[in-house]
Amino acid sequence: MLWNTFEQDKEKLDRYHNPNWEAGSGLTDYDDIQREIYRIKEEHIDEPHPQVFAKMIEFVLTKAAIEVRPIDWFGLNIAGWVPDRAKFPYRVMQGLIQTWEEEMYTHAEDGPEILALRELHVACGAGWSYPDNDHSKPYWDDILPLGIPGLLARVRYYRDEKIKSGDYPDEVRDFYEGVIRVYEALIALLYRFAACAEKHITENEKMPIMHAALLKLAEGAPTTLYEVMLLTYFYTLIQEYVTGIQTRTLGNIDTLWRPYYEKALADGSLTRENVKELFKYFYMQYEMAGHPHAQPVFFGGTDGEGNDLVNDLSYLCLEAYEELNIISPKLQIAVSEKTPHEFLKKCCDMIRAGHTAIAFVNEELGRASMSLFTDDPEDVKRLSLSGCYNFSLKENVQPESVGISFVKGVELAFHNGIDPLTGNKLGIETGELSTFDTFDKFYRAYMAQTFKLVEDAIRISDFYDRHFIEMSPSPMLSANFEYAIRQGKDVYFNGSKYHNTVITVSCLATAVDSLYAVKKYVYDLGIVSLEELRTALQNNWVGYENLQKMISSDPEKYGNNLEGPDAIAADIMKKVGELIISHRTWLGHPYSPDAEGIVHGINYGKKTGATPDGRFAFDQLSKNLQSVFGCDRRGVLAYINSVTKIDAFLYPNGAPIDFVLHPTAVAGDEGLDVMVSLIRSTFRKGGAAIQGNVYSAELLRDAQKNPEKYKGLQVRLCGWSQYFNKLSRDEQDMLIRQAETA
Amino acid sequence: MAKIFDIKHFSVHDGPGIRTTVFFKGCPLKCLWCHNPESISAKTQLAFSAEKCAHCGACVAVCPSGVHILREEKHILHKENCTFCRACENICPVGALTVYGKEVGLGEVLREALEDRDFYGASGGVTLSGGECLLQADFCAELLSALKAEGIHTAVDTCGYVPRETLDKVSSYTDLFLYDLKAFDEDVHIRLTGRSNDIILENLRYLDAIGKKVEIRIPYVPRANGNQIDKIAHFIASLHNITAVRVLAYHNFALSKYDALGMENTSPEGIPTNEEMRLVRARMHELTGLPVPD
Repeated sequence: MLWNTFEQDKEKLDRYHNPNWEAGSGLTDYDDIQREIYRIKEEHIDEPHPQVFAKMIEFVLTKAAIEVRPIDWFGLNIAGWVPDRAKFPYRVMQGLIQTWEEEMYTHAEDGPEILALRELHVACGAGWSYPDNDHSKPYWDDILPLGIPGLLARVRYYRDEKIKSGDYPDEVRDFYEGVIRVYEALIALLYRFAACAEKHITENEKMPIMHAALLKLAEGAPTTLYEVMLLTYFYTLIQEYVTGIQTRTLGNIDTLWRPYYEKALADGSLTRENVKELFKYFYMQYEMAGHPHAQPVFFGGTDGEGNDLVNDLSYLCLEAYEELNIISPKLQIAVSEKTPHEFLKKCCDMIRAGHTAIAFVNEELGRASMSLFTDDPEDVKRLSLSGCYNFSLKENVQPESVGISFVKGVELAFHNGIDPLTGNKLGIETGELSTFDTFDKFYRAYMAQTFKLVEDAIRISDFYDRHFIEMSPSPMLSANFEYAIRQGKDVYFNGSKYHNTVITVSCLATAVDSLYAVKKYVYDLGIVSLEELRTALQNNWVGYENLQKMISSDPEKYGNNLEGPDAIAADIMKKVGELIISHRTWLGHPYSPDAEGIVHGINYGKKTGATPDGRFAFDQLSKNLQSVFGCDRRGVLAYINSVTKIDAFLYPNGAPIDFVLHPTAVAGDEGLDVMVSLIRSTFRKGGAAIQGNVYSAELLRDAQKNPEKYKGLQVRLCGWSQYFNKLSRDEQDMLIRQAETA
Repeated sequence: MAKIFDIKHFSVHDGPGIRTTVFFKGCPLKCLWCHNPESISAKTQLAFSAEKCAHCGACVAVCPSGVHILREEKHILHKENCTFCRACENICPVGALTVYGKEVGLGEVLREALEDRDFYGASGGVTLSGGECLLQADFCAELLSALKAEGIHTAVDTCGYVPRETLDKVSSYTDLFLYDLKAFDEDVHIRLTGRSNDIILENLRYLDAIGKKVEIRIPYVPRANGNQIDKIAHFIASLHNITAVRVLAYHNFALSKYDALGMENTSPEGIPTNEEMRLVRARMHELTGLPVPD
């Protein structure tokens, strides 16, 4: 039976946790493959990394065992990676990339200094960093019409043009040869998969179709919807799990795939129900692979001329998703004034029913903020979404390599640049407390310390940007950017049209409430001196219990639409955003600010002493742009009013607004209208992205007590969702506390 | 000046769309099941939840009037000394203390009501509720007029137990009346609320006659007004400008508030099930032909 098979098949689809490698198809053992990669490394120790890297990829694509599972429309897998995220490396090239990174700290002239700075930031809870080439956006606009062979042909064409021009330096040659080697191996892999499908051709009616599609993809571009879907899956599988670069978007598939969908319906090759079933198989690939931050994909929005892009395929994509109750892929909905009310209602209905892996983004703001990066109106039209809710230009790379805590600057201002817990000199000397006779002076010291951390973060990030080619070349990704291929440069190494490296800043609310408490209790009310407050913080409030109670119970906190704290929040965000954008990456492009983080607040908190907002040492810091937990006493609208005072235009890579709504607030059809109205109003006020949960604290408490009853309960976290049962007790408690104020 | 006890933002049950609801203090009725017992008295009140109290003593330290005394794990209150300064309410870490009632000026309420205007959209707006907001009709009229001048949709939630002249003061600034009906039979109404419903029914007929938009709201308390539903429905069916009927499910979430306020709890037994609510709404729709949303 060709159709209506999903329900019977779905339990047997997971080949990642239960692989069944084709006998004789190659190496099956994870360790053997890792060993071979390191053998190639040693064997070619003197060759440039792009060449060596391509040889490793070629080895895996041609020698690792494969599987084609006949019951699955997309049942392809290749050995060498594991779905167990606790194991390192869980992706084939990840270990090697880390090895090259470590070598870089030794080999590069400024490597030791950067490594020391990085370690200092981590030790003090001031920031995190790692070389991130993992926020890639494949250029689906070219991948789909060209296919793998078409991309390869384009590489060869530009390689030949370069040779003819006589301008063909070694590094350009290395790049082309690496890309060609990888793409030839990709085609060889497609033939291997096709041969494997042929072996099983009688086992399932899907196999003849898959076999033909694989041959077609090995020889040219896809022409049917199924082939497009199969190519998309094949591409993400190999780029992410073999070459080690996550594909942070599948693109706006309701637009990219629409012509193929409409053609299939028109020529009668597929019915709407058939397509829905294909989507279920397709989505399940990403759920089973189980990336912790989930596979992004986006929908809706408008074209460059302002026409709404929502169509029947958009609805179909949601319907198929709704029937699965999964958290990966995660869906981003690009919202414009023209997005149909009914479409947004459908999305809201899904969130209300617990499909929380849906975020809404403000397309108009996103497009506007692209003016920070380009003057080309045509490029602005092609706005891309990726990751959690990140706006970018399509021909762009945006490494998210570093982040800093907004809170550390408070500690540094109190201690003249010294991190109080470690004694390290992390900041700059901004003066003894006695010199801060006005709040303004204290605030200036805070900003100076925060600027110092940002500048340090940019130094670290810049180091990574300059050395990506040696740490993790990206031949597979580079081939789909014509700009890179034309120049003969790796897309992460001067080969992308736009290179807007991201600097992430986190834990705003804790910093704002701390600064406002200093202003109010030290300078306005004179209840405590700056020196006494420092002593209280150093003693973790012991001996100052009443002061702690007074400050922590003070309702004047960020997130309540109160002018005092909100003005500080808006000012910090403006100054830091402008500072980040004023810096240029080594390719001359502005950095892209990003204001998010949930895990960061927990990690930084563990290394941050007591803070003036009444927080105790080592407690977690605030999440994303949210209020400190329990401090958003005036409700969701006051919170949105507060957060939209921040100029999200300056934070194209992320300025999320989180909501928790009680089910009773959004019950019935009218409740969906309320949710849609909330989203639209938030965007009209300049909000960049909004996401959230609809649940009650009682429900979460019950789920904590009776996990077996709530196996499918999803909760929205930072820019992704997770099953409630998989969270730690602390994280569960945090969500319960948040829901209590809904 | 007016006396209110709350301003609720993101209010979605007091009229259409996203709204801000101002709750006025004081009510002429005393319904047995009242969900907002803090609204009944026109006076400011200090409520204390013994169940929540952690005996931390923060209130004792902060109170300038000696209201709070902690003795052998017991929290004794001298409410008569309370000046309602809210110091204890603000500092209590567990939310055991609440002051209900606040004197507010027009500007202050208007400012807060306009705070969320960006979210009101085409359908949302501001609702005046209570208690019975029309006990403070002059203030309400001024507030409603100011809101209309700002282009905000206005709703007045009333029990209808007010003189007709009071309705006249506000009706021209009110886009929608949310009008409560608790019982049709006068004797039942007196038993349940302490007052006759003559004037209530008469006022409703009046608003209907002058063409005001009215949404009827009926608290469904099976053991109190369960037998009144059909009669109320027939009455509603005789009117012309009713936009919808809402049958509101009785619940007992207010019990802790009765305790905290030191009030006698008069709430009847018997919470209606979802199925009962579905049936009673269907019946109401059948008899009136009007929308009866959940």
